[in-house]
Amino acid sequence: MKRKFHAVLISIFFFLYALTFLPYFDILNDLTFIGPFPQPLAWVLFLNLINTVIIFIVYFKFFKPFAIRAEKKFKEERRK
Amino acid sequence: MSQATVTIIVLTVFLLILLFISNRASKANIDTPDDFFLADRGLGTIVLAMTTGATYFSTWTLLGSIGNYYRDGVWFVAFAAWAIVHALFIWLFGSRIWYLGRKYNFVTPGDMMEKYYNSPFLKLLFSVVGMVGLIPYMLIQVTGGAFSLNSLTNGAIPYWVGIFIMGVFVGIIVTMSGGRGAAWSDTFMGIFFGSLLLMITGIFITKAGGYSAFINLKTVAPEVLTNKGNFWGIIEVASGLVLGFWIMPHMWQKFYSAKSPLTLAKTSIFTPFWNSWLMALGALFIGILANTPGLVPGLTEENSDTIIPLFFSNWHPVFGAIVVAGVIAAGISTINSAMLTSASLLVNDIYIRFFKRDVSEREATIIGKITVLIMTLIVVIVAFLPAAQGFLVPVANLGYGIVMQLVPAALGPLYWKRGTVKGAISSIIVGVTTLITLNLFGSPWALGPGTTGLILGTLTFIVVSLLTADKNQGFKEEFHRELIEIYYPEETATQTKIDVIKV
Repeated sequence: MKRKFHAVLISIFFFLYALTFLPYFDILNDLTFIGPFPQPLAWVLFLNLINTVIIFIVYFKFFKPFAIRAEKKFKEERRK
Repeated sequence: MSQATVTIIVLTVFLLILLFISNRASKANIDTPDDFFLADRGLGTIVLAMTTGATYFSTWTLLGSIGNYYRDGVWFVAFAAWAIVHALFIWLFGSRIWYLGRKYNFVTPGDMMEKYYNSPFLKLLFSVVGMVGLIPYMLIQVTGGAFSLNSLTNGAIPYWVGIFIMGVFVGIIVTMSGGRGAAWSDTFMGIFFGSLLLMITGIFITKAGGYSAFINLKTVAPEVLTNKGNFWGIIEVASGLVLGFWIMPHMWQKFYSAKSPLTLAKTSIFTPFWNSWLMALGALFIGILANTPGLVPGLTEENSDTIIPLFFSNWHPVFGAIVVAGVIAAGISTINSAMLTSASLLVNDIYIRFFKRDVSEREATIIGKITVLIMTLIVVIVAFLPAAQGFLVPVANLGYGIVMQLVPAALGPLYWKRGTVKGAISSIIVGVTTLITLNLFGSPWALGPGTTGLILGTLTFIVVSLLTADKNQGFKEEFHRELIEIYYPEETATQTKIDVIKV
């Protein structure tokens, strides 16, 4: 279950990363402004923001627990 | 006081600080290859995060990438997007590299390849390709840094002084303080040039009109506000620079150097802010907003790789001098790690492995130090040869593209247990051959040489691996079983339950 969630999360991350390339195909590439930014820049910043959040989810859900497990394992091995 | 005098004073102070930090770091050194090359696998979160970023970002970030943004506008925003991927790569690749490195005491990427594939030849191949990618890249950083120093000071600091600072000075402090010194000084330099970039970004935004800075460009430079296309062009740049974050040998060794996996984990959440939101976006703001009329005096397409020094040319000389120090910091923080890693590949993977296996740890460290000094000498000699401005430039520019061809083979120990030694070797040969051929004769399709090499190399790895088998498949199965056990313990528990029920 956890591995499936991990796979889904990583896939979403790379899907969003792939979407940052849409302006290269003239999609979301108009000379209009969203707040202070031109549309293609605002689009990439928006996706970067979501991907930054995903990095935090990965940290709390997977990276930190792995780190604790690995550290514990090496400590036990050293003790042995 | 003239600009040249101020620059020399500021640079001298900067280099003395660097020397002081390296000297302090060297107090904790012990004579082992682990300590010399990997800072005794003891880097804490702040130092690891800073050294990883500072090593990745070179003078190109403060000069070349800003010029790219000026000329190409939002087309180059891919830099900000791929810099976020780095953070995920620390989890996907860095954590595995750290775990395996700690478990088996690997010093170089080649160590992992030899252990996993049971192939000394693959270790040699991995190291040679790594060095071909890394050494010219390092040389060009030295010569490029010396040229920048010369041009940023309008010739006041001659080329040979630049070579002395970027090559000889760095070589000596690396020999003296090793991986720990490099990491500590990277931390100082990273904070220095990161703060500098942040400050300059703020100044550019304010001077270009604050909230309406981009909107003001709509009438004067609309072409930089939309994406000009050329998808395959950006993919070639992006693939090398995104994968290079973990596959370049000097970056790979940063993962070995982490004190604990938690250190690495914390680095991963720091990375989006440091790599993307600060460095890549800072460069973006400066580069694109430089199109604001009158903001950067004397700016043309030709001199757009020196936007920051141009901007400060009318300011008090101390600002120009600090900018020069910032550019030098970005260069040195890349060169020191590249030099150390190149030496480790030569010493650990070639000299000790194939010529002199019975050396003590102390002897190995001394050989490592001597190698750094010899490499420093070579750097100085080459820097004055026509090759430094000749054929080495295109080779160095291929650095990331060359090393990228190691990715498929590296996926074997990290992810794909079916990958075989024949698959790994053939993938590297196919990838590098494709890269060289397409570079020499031109590519018949839109995809660039590096990306084409990677795709063909990956296909070769898969096909050849499926058609061949390794004698040590049992070891490989165990290797991956252990990885699954530590990464997905609940899965292993479920599997054990199923096995018990079957019995």
